Amino acid sequence: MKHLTQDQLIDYLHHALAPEDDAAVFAHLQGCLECAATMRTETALTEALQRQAAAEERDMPAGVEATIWARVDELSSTPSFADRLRAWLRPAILVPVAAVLVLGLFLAPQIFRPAPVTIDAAYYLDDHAAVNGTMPFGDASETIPASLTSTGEPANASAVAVDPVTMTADVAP
Amino acid sequence: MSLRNAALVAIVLLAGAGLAPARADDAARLLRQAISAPATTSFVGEVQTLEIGESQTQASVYRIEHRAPDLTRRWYLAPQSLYGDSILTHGEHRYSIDVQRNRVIVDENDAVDDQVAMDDNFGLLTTNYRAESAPHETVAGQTCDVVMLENKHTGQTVMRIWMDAKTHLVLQKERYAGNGALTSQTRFSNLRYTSAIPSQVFQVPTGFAQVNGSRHLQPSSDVNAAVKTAGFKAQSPRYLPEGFIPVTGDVTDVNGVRTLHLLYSDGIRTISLFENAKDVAVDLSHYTAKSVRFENHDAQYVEQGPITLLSWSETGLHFALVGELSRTELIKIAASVVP
Repeated sequence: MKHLTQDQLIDYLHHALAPEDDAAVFAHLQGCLECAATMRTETALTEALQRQAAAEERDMPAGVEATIWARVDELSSTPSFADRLRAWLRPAILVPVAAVLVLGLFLAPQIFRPAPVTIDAAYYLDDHAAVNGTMPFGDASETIPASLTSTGEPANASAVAVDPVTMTADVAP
Repeated sequence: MSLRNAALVAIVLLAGAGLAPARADDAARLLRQAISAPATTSFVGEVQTLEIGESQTQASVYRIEHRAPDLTRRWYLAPQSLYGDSILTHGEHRYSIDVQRNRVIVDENDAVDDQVAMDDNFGLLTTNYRAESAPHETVAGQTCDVVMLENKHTGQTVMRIWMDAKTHLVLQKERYAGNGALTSQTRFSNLRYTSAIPSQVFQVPTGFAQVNGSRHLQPSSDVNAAVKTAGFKAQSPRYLPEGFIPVTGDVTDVNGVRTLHLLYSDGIRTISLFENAKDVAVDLSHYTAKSVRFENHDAQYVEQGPITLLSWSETGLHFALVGELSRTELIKIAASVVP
């Protein structure tokens, strides 16, 4: 009878054999005391290695865990500018923010546009009448002031001093 | 024609030629006296005015108290919308008392004291108009000298003035359009000459909100200087009716907008051209505005009695033309303003 190789036993222990090979190894171990003994040795060795590995995982060098957690705390409390920028540039934030900005740029000129400046027609009519007062028989007082008949507010008008100049302008004589 | 008849005709023609200049001089003298009469004559009375436009007419009746030289109160009896409103004039200051809105609008107009401009404009009047005396008539119980002003270029009578023969105060005045239609009439009634008018009559009443209106400096006869002060390339009409010339220019900041005002006149009729470079619209919302189109411009106009305001924009400039000429004539002038 041919005994099982060590590789076959290790693969069997790790459930790495094909189903038909696994069944053949199981049947062999039932009738071969020598292979069963080897199997037990291999099992014990595997368990010892696993226990050792587990022990080594639990006993990390002193301070490693503390260092790791300290670093985690540091990162979470003061994220770098790049990290923060990356956070802001996430699509979940960037897209809505961009949409609001575009909408704002579109609407702002309409919302914050200053009221259009207009000049009430009454100003022109009254100003014409006022200057007309220097004409012979052009007594402005005979006409009803437009500022009395108009429902609008009087224009805020202040005269600008005209300084005599010698140069000619583009006005036909 | 016999020699005798020919001699008679010659004598009559020579006499007429000799008399005509004397009549014109006499009429011009009467006009000058009429212009200065309010500075020396005090009176109370009632005045009816009629302003007839192409599509609307304004009428008003007001009581007037005038104490020479420059205190005047006008108290409106009509139209109903102005009943109780009054206008006080203290020289260059005007107080428009708006009872309905409980406010007094204060305007200042230095132009009314501009005697040089008055004299220049009288010269312009005599250049363009022929003054003719007409037979005496009676107005408000006073015997009046009557003078007609005929346009030398068109031959049309533009104005007819009735002046008290003693005080020279203008008691009636009529203006006529180019076709002879009456466009305005001012007529006194219940006139009484008196200087015993209490000062309280001319006091500005208390209890009204005071609102600043316009302040006009004496407009400059140096139109080029006004244009230069405007700070933008101003434009002027290439067409004006015969006899019209630029008379004055002034610059005003209206609601923060620098506005140039050019006045053209022939001595009686006037046209104002306002312009600004900010394309600031004229607010016509308080008037019945109508649209008109000329030279590819969409313009709007409003009428107040015989006065028309025409408003339009072109190449960044905004224009308002105001005058008592016909709308057709104003549009012709506006069309000639080409930036």
